[in-house]
Amino acid sequence: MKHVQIVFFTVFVAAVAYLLLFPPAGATPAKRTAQGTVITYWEKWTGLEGSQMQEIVKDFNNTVGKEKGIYVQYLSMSKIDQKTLIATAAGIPPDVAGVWDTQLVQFAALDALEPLDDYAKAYGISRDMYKPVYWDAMVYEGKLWGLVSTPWAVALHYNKRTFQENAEALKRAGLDPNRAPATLQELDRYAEVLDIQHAHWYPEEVLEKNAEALKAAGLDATKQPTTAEELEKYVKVLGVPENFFEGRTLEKYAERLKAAGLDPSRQPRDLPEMRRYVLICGLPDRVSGRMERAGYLPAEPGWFMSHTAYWFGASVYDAKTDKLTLTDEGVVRAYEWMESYTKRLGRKAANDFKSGMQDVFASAQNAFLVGSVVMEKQGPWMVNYTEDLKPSMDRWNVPKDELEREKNFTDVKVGMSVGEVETLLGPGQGAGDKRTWKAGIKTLHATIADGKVRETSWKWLPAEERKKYFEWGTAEFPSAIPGVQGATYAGYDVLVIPRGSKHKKEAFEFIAYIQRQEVQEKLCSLHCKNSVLRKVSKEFVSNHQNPYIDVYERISAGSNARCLPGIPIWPEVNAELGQVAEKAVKLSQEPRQALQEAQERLEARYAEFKRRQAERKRLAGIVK
Amino acid sequence: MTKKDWQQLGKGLAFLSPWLVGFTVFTGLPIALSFWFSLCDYTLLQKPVYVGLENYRTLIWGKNSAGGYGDPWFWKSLWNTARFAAVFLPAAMVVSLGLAMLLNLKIKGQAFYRTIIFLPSLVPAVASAMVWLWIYNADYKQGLINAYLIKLGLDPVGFLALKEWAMYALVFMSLWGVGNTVIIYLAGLQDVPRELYEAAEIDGAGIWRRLWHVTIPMVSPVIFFNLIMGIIGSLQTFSTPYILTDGFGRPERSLYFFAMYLYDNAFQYLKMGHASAMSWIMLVIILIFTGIAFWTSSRWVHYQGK
Repeated sequence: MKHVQIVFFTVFVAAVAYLLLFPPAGATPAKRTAQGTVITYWEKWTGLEGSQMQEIVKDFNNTVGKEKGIYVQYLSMSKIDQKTLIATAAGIPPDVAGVWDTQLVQFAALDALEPLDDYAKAYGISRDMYKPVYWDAMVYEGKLWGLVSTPWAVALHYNKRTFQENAEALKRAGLDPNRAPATLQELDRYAEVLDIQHAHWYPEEVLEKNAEALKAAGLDATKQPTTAEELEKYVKVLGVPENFFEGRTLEKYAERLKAAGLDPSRQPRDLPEMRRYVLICGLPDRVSGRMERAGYLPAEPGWFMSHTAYWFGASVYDAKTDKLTLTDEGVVRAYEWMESYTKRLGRKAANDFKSGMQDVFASAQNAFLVGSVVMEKQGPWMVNYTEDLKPSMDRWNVPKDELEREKNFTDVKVGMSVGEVETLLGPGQGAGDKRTWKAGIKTLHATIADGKVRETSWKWLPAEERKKYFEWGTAEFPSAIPGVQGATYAGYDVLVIPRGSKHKKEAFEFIAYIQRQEVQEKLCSLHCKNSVLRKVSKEFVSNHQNPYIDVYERISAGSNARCLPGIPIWPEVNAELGQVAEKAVKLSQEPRQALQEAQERLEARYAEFKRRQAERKRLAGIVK
Repeated sequence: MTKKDWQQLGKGLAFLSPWLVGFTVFTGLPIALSFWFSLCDYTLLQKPVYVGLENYRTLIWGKNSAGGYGDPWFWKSLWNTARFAAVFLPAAMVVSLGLAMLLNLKIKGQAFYRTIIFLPSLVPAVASAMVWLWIYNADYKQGLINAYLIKLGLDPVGFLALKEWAMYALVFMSLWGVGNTVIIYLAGLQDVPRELYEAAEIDGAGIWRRLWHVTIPMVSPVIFFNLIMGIIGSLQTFSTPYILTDGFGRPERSLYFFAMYLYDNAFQYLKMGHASAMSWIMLVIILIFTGIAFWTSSRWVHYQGK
């Protein structure tokens, strides 16, 4: 027994001693292989996007890397923000990190990144090569802190099929079913027409009793009004529905009603009065029914609500004066606009409907895919999800036989005779050793030798041709400011060199490689995004998986594209704005008031941040 | 001490050393450092700067922009946590003890019922949150509960969409995972000597009197243990509301818990000093509550053989 104890003890001591003497290596200690310097690259993408980036890394290692003696060791991981943060704090950061856009300024302000200006200059990388919004986003306090790997922008996605199915109703409202809304006011009107909401404004017997009068007014006595506009028409005939507002609602808005000269102790009596009450109290919850479909809902998917002010010509932060501007009139209007949707649809109906959608973006229950919302704000990646989860949306107008033939593309195998392929796909085009077959939204390319297929590959049809088959369309999200074109929020993934990287030069070599036009186009095609560069090839636009990539290219290059405000406390600002947006769409606080309170809290926090930052710099000897 | 005693001590410490080293390096040191950081301005990326009680002042008693005291989100998250603990803890105690008593009955399929009750506690928090998201879904076509409410002619309820409902919805779903506590109660119940019940029965005690005068006093050490664990667990609630609300504590921060704000301070806002101060505040709160529980325990906890 004693021997066992001794052996056991010795093994333990040896293991502990080994771990203490030879701790696990950090991410960066210099390594040199036969190929040269090994640099570590941490990236946030996992799954498909992760493996697509792996392909780009492989290209680098086989070309520039080989030539210059650099090998990129790629590690895809989740929670990259925390891991990079901790590794940097511990002094063992990766040489390159692909971080979120929200981190760039935060990390730069806290001195956690290497400035890239000198490297960029040495490599001839300058602002004029880039779409200005993306370059400017990389600059904080006059220094360049990162370069974009993949950029994106936000545009309006709309369901063309639903537009067509409701063409008559849209036309009656003076709207064109063949195009996207061009102004924000128009978007609101499209949304109203396309909403489907079960409403129970009038008892059935009241409708029956007044069937004649309703018919005379062109209204259907067997249906309830489904939109605010329709309700008004019914009110003209039937009067204001009984107990239109709950007593509590009138109590809640009593002050404002009184201020507007209305009596909070009674219900509105006629249409003009009802309109005035609704303007203040919103449509009542009790009588606005369950929703089946929303034309548009600001909270779906709601990812860009913090940036809505851009479409109102405003921003929550003024970089010139370094001041938070949450109470600017444009910002307030933006939140009031979001609020107006809930007021129109009813608090309970709108919130239950949104809550039912949950966060199921990457699933077949996605609200846009199932048609629960007809229009939404989205990025260029959307086509990845339609193609994966509901490919029929990308082939709406494709004839049935072509759909079958497109499906047969996968049955074409190397070694098959041309005859066999033609049996599957019909006669192809071209002669000699190159043959192509077009079906659906793709083209199959085959290399033929000795009458047999030697190699196959497929391509999308040119974008312009593909667009006409799509059930959905993309257009710029209209601005609230008349005449403003191409307003968008532009986001990005960013490559940085964390402070303490042991191979800065080699790391920048890799970052610079990603900025090359052909590499940028390959990566952004794979990730289904637009390019960060001003110059893009025709092929990039035409062969891109998203046939509407031209829209993103245009709006992201325009002067009305805006990115994240360059304020180091953005995560806190964003959290506060999220609160304001939630209060607005839940009608639990007036946006103006909520923004005022958020502004005060954030001003205090920013002042505190700046005070502490000055102290940190003073102690670090950066500022005497 | 004799030479042999020293040798024995040496051996004992040597065998304890893996734990001692582990505790010191991975627990003791971080605890000590977190206290130090709570007195510092520390962003994790820069050297900590000593600021005294500044972090505590900002969180608790410093004048804020609204004219109140302390950080409004700190108080809000603390209030939410307290509300949750106040509802969940008694509910969990009653439900788990009740279930344990039912599972203690000698009935057919006892093992099956025990398995069914215990099973949910094996489900990872993420999976459980996903399942409950669907159960609570406000869409009457998708949400399990709302689909039935509609059939009964009632209006659907946005369980997780309305701040009035969200906390109770979370408490209810948390009760789904009381299997572990039930098992501990069950073990305690099986330790209650049969003779006591027989004696009580002979004395004419009915089912409620037997429960009140025999069962509860006899399992009071187990209740006490579960109470302490429950206080600690419910005050540290993090993963379920975090997953359920994407970290935002929706709706309207009604599910924004203390531990979530602590996490945000540490890893989103890079205010490690604030986060460390919050963790020490939480420690003090837990100590106070567990202290009260221990202080009162002599009056209601009965140990066999004492």
